[in-house]
Amino acid sequence: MSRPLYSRRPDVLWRSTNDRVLLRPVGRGGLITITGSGTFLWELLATPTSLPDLVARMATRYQVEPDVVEEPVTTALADLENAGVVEKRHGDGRSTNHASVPNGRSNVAAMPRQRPAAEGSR
Amino acid sequence: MMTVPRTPPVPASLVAAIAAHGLLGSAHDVPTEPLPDSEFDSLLAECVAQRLTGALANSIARNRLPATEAQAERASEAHFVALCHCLELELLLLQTVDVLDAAGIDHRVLKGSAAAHLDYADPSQRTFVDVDVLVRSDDFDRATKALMASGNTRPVAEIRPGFDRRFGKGCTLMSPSGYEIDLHRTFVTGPFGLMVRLPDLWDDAAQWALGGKTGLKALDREQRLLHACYHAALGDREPRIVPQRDIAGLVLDDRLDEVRVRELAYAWRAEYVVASAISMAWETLALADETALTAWAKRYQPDTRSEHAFAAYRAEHANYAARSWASLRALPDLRTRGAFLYSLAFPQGGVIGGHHVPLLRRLIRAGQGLRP
Repeated sequence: MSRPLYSRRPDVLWRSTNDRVLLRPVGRGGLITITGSGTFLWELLATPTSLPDLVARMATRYQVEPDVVEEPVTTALADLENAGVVEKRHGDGRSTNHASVPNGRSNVAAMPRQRPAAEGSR
Repeated sequence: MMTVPRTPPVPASLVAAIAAHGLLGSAHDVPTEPLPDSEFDSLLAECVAQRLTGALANSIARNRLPATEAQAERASEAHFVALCHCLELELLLLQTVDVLDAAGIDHRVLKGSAAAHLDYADPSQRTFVDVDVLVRSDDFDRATKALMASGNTRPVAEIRPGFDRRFGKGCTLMSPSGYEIDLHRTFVTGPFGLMVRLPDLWDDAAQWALGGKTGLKALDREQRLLHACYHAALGDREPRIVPQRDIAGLVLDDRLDEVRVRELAYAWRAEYVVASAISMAWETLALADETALTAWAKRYQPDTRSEHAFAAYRAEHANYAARSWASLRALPDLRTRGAFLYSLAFPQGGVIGGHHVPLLRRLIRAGQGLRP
């Protein structure tokens, strides 16, 4: 059985600054802010990607072992899924999404802040 | 008497240098050391007012503009606030488009979100403060009604029934969340707005997706440039920098069909508007790179008729009455001119030129337009 793939939901308005990503799901909830390494996770979610691949790419970017980031990535994905901005698609195309967001600004994806790898080392 | 400390003025060249961030070849210099806090705060206030927080925050983040950590944080926070508004405005745009779609009214999104997504590599760099949508003149009344039926209000009533659809630029509606929706049928009030060959605007469209909705429609690239030129040259007494930045980005885009731009400008009798806006943008942003269009803009010499029309917007005496008088020349026949003057002299509602004025004063003002 193929692994589920995570990606951004299309019905989300968003903008990025140098250190944050702002998200506004259409038709539900309020503004959501992603900070720190969560912004890189959001970047990766532009393309449907499996959890192991996300973990591997986050580990490479932050120069740590995959098992260090596995739990924070899993938690962040669950938060983003619950906030209705990320969807998980199974191999058969089925989507699971919880999307229950209270009104107001939320902060999700609180990944451990670590130094990103220098551009040249990737 | 208490004196309020005055903030130091910001050099216009520094604001322009910030605006030119991301464009190649600007000759403006930026300081090599962080500005004193009072000067930085003035710069930040000006960037907020000119909607340049993205360029400021990015200039600092990319070490183009030296800043202290606290200054960088203030710039980042100001940009964050501007972007929060942009997202709410895009939500309002989607609702507006849904209302027009449901009513079967074709439309084009103008400026703001369309410019951000179609003309900037990073949409976060182009912030905006309202929603602008264009509809056909024949659909204007229906579009206004549909948008009001969905909860938006119109703070200023129409001068006379049918005036907006025949002679106006459009109207402003207020959303329940307090944001403005500018519903347009043309680009500006006055003669240049009346001379736009409106059917051209519906020949083609650029499309993009937003928040899961595909097929949002904007003007095509050449028409977006012309609209930015109207906005820059005729929109405000003190020309804003953002439309000039839009112009520079579009003119330097290899995909722009410069010949078509000139053909449209000629057909809409807007060559003076386009030439002066492009020249102004190049001068303001101190851009070195020339294109065929910028060379043409520099060489362009307006005729007397264009100069008179332009003066109604930019000259010392320019006001709504002067623009109204200049509009007469752009109207096709005596009957239409009569209807236009009658509406201005005997309005049933609304305001003229932003102020309530008595009938006699209105006529005097209209007469003042006779003297250039």
